[in-house]
This record gives sequence, C-alpha cells and structure tokens, in this order.
Amino acid sequence: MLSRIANSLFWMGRYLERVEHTARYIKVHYYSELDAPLDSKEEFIFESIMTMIDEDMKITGDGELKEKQLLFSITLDEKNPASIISGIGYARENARGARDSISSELWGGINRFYHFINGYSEEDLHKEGIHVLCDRITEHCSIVNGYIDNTLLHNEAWSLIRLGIHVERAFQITRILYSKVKDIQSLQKQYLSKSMESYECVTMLKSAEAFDMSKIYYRGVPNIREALEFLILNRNFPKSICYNLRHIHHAVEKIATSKQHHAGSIEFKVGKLFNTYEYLTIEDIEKRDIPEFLNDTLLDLFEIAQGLEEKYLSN
Amino acid sequence: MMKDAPLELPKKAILDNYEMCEGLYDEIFDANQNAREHYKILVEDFGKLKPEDYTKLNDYAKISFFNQGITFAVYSESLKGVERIFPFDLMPRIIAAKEWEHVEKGLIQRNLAINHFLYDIYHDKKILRDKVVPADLVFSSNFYVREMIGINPPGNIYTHICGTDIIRHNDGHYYVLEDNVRCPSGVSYVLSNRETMKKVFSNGFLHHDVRSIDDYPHQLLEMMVSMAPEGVDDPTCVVMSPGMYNSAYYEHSFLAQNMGIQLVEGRDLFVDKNFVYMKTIHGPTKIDVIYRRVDDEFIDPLCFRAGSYLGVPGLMSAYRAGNVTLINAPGTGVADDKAVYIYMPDIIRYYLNEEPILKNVRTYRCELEEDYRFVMENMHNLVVKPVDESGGYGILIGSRASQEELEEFRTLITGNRRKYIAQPIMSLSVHGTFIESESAFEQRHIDLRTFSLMSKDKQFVLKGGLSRVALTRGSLVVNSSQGGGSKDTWVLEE
Amino acid sequence: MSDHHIDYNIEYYSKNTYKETATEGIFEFNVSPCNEEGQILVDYKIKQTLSDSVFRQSNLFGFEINRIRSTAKFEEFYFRYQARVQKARIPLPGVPAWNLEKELEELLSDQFFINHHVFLCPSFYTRLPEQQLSLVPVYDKKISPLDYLKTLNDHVHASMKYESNATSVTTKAGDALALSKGVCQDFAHVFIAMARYNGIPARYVSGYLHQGINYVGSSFMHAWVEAYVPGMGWIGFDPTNNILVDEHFIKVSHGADYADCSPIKGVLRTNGDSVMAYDVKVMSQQSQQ
Repeated sequence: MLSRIANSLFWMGRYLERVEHTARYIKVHYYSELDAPLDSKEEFIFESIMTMIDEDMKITGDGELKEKQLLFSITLDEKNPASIISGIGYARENARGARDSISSELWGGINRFYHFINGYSEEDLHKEGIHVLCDRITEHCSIVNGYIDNTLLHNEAWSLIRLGIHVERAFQITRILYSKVKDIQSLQKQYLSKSMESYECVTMLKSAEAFDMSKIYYRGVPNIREALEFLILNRNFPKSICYNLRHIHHAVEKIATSKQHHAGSIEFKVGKLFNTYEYLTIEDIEKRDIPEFLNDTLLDLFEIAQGLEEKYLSN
Repeated sequence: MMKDAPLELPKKAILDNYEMCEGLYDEIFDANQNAREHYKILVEDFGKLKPEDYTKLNDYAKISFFNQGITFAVYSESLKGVERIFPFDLMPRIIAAKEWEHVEKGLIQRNLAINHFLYDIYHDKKILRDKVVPADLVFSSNFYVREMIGINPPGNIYTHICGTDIIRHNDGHYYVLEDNVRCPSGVSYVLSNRETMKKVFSNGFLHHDVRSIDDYPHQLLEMMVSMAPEGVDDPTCVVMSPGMYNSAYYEHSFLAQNMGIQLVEGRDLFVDKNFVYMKTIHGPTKIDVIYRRVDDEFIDPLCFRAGSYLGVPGLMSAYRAGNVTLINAPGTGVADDKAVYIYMPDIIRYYLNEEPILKNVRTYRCELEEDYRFVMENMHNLVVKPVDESGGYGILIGSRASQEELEEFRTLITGNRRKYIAQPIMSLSVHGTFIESESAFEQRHIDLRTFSLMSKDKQFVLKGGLSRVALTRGSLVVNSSQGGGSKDTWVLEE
Repeated sequence: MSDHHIDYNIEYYSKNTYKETATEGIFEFNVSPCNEEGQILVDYKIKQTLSDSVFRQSNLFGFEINRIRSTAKFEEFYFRYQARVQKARIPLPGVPAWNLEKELEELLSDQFFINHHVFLCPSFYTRLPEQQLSLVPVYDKKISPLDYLKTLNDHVHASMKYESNATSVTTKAGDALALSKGVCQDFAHVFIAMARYNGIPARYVSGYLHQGINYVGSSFMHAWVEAYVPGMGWIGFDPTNNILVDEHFIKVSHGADYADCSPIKGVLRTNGDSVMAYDVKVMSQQSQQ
C-alpha cells in the first residue's frame, strides 16, 4: 500500500471518530448540564463546549446570541477547522484520496454524510435544535462505522482506518478524563456539594457513552473511583483507554513489516504501552496523581502517533 | 352515474410535441418526421412515457450519480468547490451496426496513421523531407518534445489511447473534429452512464441488442501489460493522477479501481538509478507501466517545467532508458495540434496508401497568407480555434460573436498566426434531449467522443463512446467544462 | 606545458545549505568535461555528502550527467568534482572550406533545416520578441557564414556590457538585449538568437575557461557558442571576450540554450530558503608549478 494512501486512511478514521466524539460531547454537555446543581450553569456549559473550539474563533454575542454563535461555530461553521462540518469534509477528502482502496458502500456512506451536513442550514439548526443535528450525525457515524467493519476486507487498509479510529478515541477519552478529574478536584477543594461531584461523574461517563454499561458492570451508579477504573482499565468496554490501546496494538501488528520488533521501534513501544495498561490496577493509578498519570498517557499517545506517522504514513 | 366527476384529461406522451427544425440532421427522425429504422423501438418505448414518469426516472438517475460521487468540482471564490453532476440525458443515442462499422474502421485507420506519423517525426522525418507536412509546422508545435527524438517506445506505439471527436454534419456524413491523443478523458462517464441506464431503463436493454462496453477496463489493463518494458514479465502498472483537486480525478480513481491497480500521484513515486519506484508502507516497489493523466510538461520537473509538483523528477530519463513505459508516450500532442489536423488525410495516404474513411473538416491555417486573409474577411461565418487547447477553451463561433469579440480575435490571430486555425461552422446533428425546465424533449446538438486503444498487434474501439450534448438551445459547444451534458450511446448488434 | 597540448586540473565545488530540513532531494550535475576532438578527460573524482553513490548517465545530447539522490533528511550537502583534462593546441579556423555558392546551397536546403532544427528553431531563452528582430544584423549571404559569424561575435560584444548583477539565470535573450548588459550566458543567448534568426544553426556551450589568462568570466563556469558552418562543422565563438574558441576553453556540454547546460539542477522538498556557495578552479600544469 502507498504510504500516502495509508496516511489518508488513517486520517479518515481519525476525523470520523473526532466528529462522532464532538457530536456526543456537545449533546451530553448541552443537555445533561441543563439541570446541573450549579448557579451559573450557562457559563459552565459554554466553558466546557468552548474548550473544543479554536481560541481564535471569536464569539462576540451575549446570552442567546452567544449560544447561537457558539453552537453554529462548533457544528456548521466551515471557517472553524474544529467544527463538525470541517471534520466531515476532511474525512471525505481523505476517503477520496484513498477512493480505490475502499468499498463503494463505504464511499457512498461518507459521501451521503457529507452531503447531509452540507445541506443542513443554520436555520435548520436553530429550528430543530442542536440535539436533532447531533443525533443525525451520530447516526451517520454509526452507518459509516458499519460499512468500515462490514464491507471492507479486514486487511491493511481496514487496519489503518481502525488504527486512526482507536488512536483518536484514546486521545479524546484521555483528554475528557483529564479535564473532568481536574474539574472534580477543584470542586472538592471548594467543598461543594457531593451532588455536584456525582453529577460530574455521570457526565464524564455519558461523554463516553459509558453510563449504561458501567451501571450494569458495577450494579449501580458508579462512584468516581469506579468510573475511572471503568474508563481507563476495563478490557471489554470499547471506549476505555485500555481497550483502545489493545486495538492500536492489533492494528500495528497487522501492518507491521516484520514480526521481530527491536527495542525502540514503534511496534515495540506500542506493545509495551498496551501491556503496561493490561496489568495495571486502579490502586496503582491512585498511588500517583491522577491528572499527572493521564497527562503521561497523553504524552505516550503523542509519541506513538508521531512514530506511526514517521514509519508508515509519511511520503 | 359519476357524471359530475371531473374527467381525467389524457396526459400527452412525452414525444408528441417534439419540434423539428429544418436544415438540421436529426438522429432520431428523418425529414418526414418518421423514426429512423434503428430508433423505431426506442421511440415506441419512450412514447409510452408521460413527462411525470420521465421526471421520476430522471431524478432517480441524478441521485444515483450524486451518491456515487460522480461529480466534478467547480472552484470559485467561495471556500470550497461546488460539486455538480454532469448533466445526463436518459434518452440514448443509437448507432446502427453498419454505420458503426464504418466509423470504427475510420478511427482505426486514422489512429494507425497518427502513430506512424509520430514515429516518423521523431526518427527519419521522411514525411517532412517529402514535404507532405511542412517541417516548420511540426517543429514549432508546442507539443513537439525533443527528448523523444530517436527513442523507441515498446512496439513503437505512441498513442495507446485516442479520444477522437466525431460529428455528423447536416449532409449526413461523419467528420472528425479533433484527434485527442494526449490524455483524452470521459471514458468513466461512458461506463457510469451505462450502469445508471441499466438500472433506470432496463426495458430498453431488453428490447435492443446493445453491444456491451464493460470490458473497457480489462482491455485497457491488457494493453498496459502488453506495453511493459523489455524483459519485464509481470509488470506493475499504475494510474498516475495530478491529485484529487483535478477535475477528472473521479475518472482517474474509477479507472484504477476498475483495473484493480494502484492510483498514484507524483509524490508517491521516485526515480533511483533510472528505475521508478512507489513508496509503500513496506518500502519501495518498482513500477513498470504508468498510465499518466498528467500532461507532458508536468511529468518531470528535472526535464520539463521546473517547479512542477505533479511530476516525478527523473521520470523522463527512466523512460528514455527504457525502464518504464508511459501511456501515452510524451510528445504525441503534435498529432492533435489543430494545424497539423489539416494534413491528416495526406498523412493517412502517405503511410497507409489508403483513402481516408472519415472526413476532415475544411480548415484554414492562419499562418498561411491566403488562409489568413480569408479568415480575416469571413470570420463571422467561421469557427476560430487555438491549435493547442482542448475542452472547448478559447474558441470563437463567428456567427454568434459580437463586433468586439470578432475584433478581439482579429488582434489575437494577427499577434500569433501559428496559434489559430478556422473552420466553417459545422452543423452538428441534433438529438431529442429532455429539457427539465420545459418538461419536454427538444432537439439539441450532439457530438461523439470515441475511445480507442492500440497495442502491438491489436486495435480496440469502445463500442459507442460519449455522446456529448450542448444543453443550451442552438449551442454548438458540447464540452462538459462549458455546460454540456452527455448520453449513453448504444451501438446495435447486426 | 608542452607545445602540443595543455594539461588542466579542474575543480568544481558547490555547497547548498537549507534553512529548514529537506526531506527529499535529487540533483543533477552537468560539470564534467566532455571528450571530443582535441580534448581528453584523463581522469576525475567526485566527493559528495548527499547519497551513497553517484549515478552517471548521458543526457539528450550525449553528455555525462552525475545524479545524486538523498536517502535521508538533510540540511546541507556539498558536491566536489575534480578532473584532469588534456587539451591539444589546434589551429584556429582560417578560411571557409567550401565556396560561398556551395555553402549557401546547403544552408538554404530543406534537408538542412530538418537536420539541424533543434539548433535553428527559437528556444525558451533564445526567442526574440517581434519588436527586437530589427536589431539583428542581417546576414546578406554575400559573405561566407564564417565571416558573418565573426562580425556577429564583434557585434554582440560591442553592443552588450559585461555586468555581473544586471541579469539572472532566468534572463532571456530579449531581456538582456533590451538592457544591453549581462554575463556570459546572456552574451551567448543573444548571439544564438541572432544566428538562428539568420538561418545559421547555433548552440549554447558551457565549460571552463583557463584562469591564467585575463579572460572575462573565468572565475565561474563559462558560456560560449558553437555555430555551424557548412563544410567546416561546428565552430566555437566567445562573444563575451570577442574571440574564437581555442585551447583555453574546456567544454563540458552543449544544448539549445542554458536550460540544457545548467551546471546544477535539482528538485527538493523543503519549506525554507537555501543558500548556495559555488567555486571553480581551473589550473594549467604550468601555473601549478
């Protein structure tokens, strides 16, 4: 496979995952926090969504106007490279660049997704509400993901798309955990109500679509400790860091030129990181500062993403 | 009993109001408004359709193109290109078996002669020495490539792929309008049009013996494989594209995918010790045959235009060393220089000792004094074309031009007489075409872009081709870049 | 130094430095003296820091090109070419070999045009704009082409002033003529444009110039012209110095114009600017002793 095509497939996966994540994040934060036990909820909601857009994007309005601007900017604004519409555009450009390596079904799915979002106007958004749009986006993402898994040969091309998806997901989940843990820590310092803390914990789980499954796993609403354990270490939950590291590892093994990995090679680093997490416990993590631990995870992920780019994806 | 119920008006069938203009050759109906023999069944089939049925089919076809991403981007000042589908007309153009046989023979004859001509002008130059074609005309062509002098491409084939444009004049004869022997495009639309037609209008195929076109990708690949450099048994073939911002990118990826070979860009390739390699995730892979959809001047920044990022530095020297085959060969553009076109009948006679089967349009070379004077005086009755452009760019149709435009062209021609030729305005034949805004069929001018392949001992002509339609009433410009549409083209079995 | 020939030691050196790391690069050096009548390339060596090996091949006109290609990222590289060349002393062309009638018959024949079209048709650097054609001294065909070419050499030398920074490598004959200034490359292009306009084949030559003599343009690679005289073949003219080419000129290659002879051509991937340092040394045996 051409390195350029590999690069396109990888980034197609990353952008698709990023779009899905953005839509989910907006939905959870915008709606779940409407009834948050907080005084200045509006500011809080805006703050958390604002972290997702470029600092250079100017949101000038106030109140309702500000909300409208913000929601437009993060979803339909083509000038904002972090918006959903931009993300889908990039995913499609990458798919187009690798058109001959993917199925017509997958291409058709991405193409329909693209035409859907481009045909969706700002008026539609304000009329129907952000929830409808985010639901439709999530649906399209699921359809595309279905095509990825069910219409492609599970060969190098597929592994590269999956690699992109899992790298992106690992990044996003780690970032969410990092900011949520920070939030909770600052709430604890301010001796705010316990209800706010558990509220944040639920939002964190919902942001990763993990609320339902964690309740089943822990037979009840998990506490902070359990929530972190679930999202970092659960081997069978598709959004956990550990799960994603395992799949990054699988994908890398599948595209690796040789099965002999010398120390310091990217394949070696991936295997080492994945194995570390497989045999980690929440107690081990608690012995350290959790934000620091998550920050280290981010740095490890950066190193891996860079190593992959250098070895397989640059041309 | 239901006396008062409103009577349902019988809705008119779609061809009932078809208007015919005098003096034009209509492909469907003869001068007495009777359907021509090979169109009878089709006219009957279409005669059953009401405009609303037709509109439904039409919409379905459009959606099908859109979702397959068979679009081209029109770039403007806005942030990103607007995607459009090529307008497609559901009523096919039909060519009777006998007539096609004649066209096909004519195309093969012409392409063989062009290939002889190219070999000759890059070797002994006999045709120039015998003064059949003026030497200065050939050497002054923008597409004459010195690097090809003395080079022997595999099988001495230069024009592996030809996209000859033919028209039918109102005298009923076919004429060749242009020989496109550089990077002719459009074949993916022929194949996609057919796919869509089969889905939307399957009845038509049950009622006609339409000759199949599906094997084009196979024929193309077979030709590429047969053109491998000497000593290479199992060649690696690729399609090389300028990239996805090129307006024909859809076609490039379509062809690569349908041949099951890699689509590459210049930046995917490099040359080492005069061999060409592509960069893969598992290291370099040698490649042997490149169907390049990149123009000559961009293929190698070391050899031609410096600073081109579309090409591969060193590609020409690898080619000259015989280590890689380029399809088409560089330097073929001399043969589709519109001033060289004038000599095509002589070129056929010179190399093949045969009379040309397809006619040439009378063409005036502005470089010649007499022709120049004629063109200057009669421009309002002529089409003026630059010799080295394609896609319908830079053309003046005298009868429709304003005084200012005519004056502008007089200045242009006088400034560079080598660059312009002129032809009488040919009356392209017309074909019934569904016009959405009128919900009716109207006559529109059409031409035919044909596709031929040439390898050592084999000539293949795609049965039919791309019938291009000028969608504006009365317009003679069919190019897609100028708002033209297309039709599926059916060549019937005997 | 002997009476029959001169031994030269020639060195070409260039060093390219890039502000940003270059990820890929390919370069062609057209600096190697050719073998031709009266000139022998005795031996040479190359030292360079870009690639594992140097790939040698012939260009369109049969001259040897040295190609190097990077295999890893780089911020700078140098290329040093050293050669020993033996150059015979040959008599300068005196009188034409054929009579005028025979010369003209050949010069004006269609076959002649077809055979020499590469050096007769205008090329990128040598195409003169319409309005400058009146500046070309017309060959009236009353004298031998050789004599006309000598006057043309005079004419170009007299109408242009040698000035280092007035023009660049992209300057065409027309621009240099309009400025009446330039370097050896511009003098050569103007000469070629004018000779071709008069139907005499002319080609661009690049090479080295003996540094022991006070010639203009010897500190870098030099450019001159060869023009075709029926019955005699290609004769060298140096319009920069207004002389005929002799044993002090060491030829590297010829072509239609500068584009065929540029000493270094390259394509690389980098985001930043580059600086090139370049030096030429041409020493005869005698001046070394």
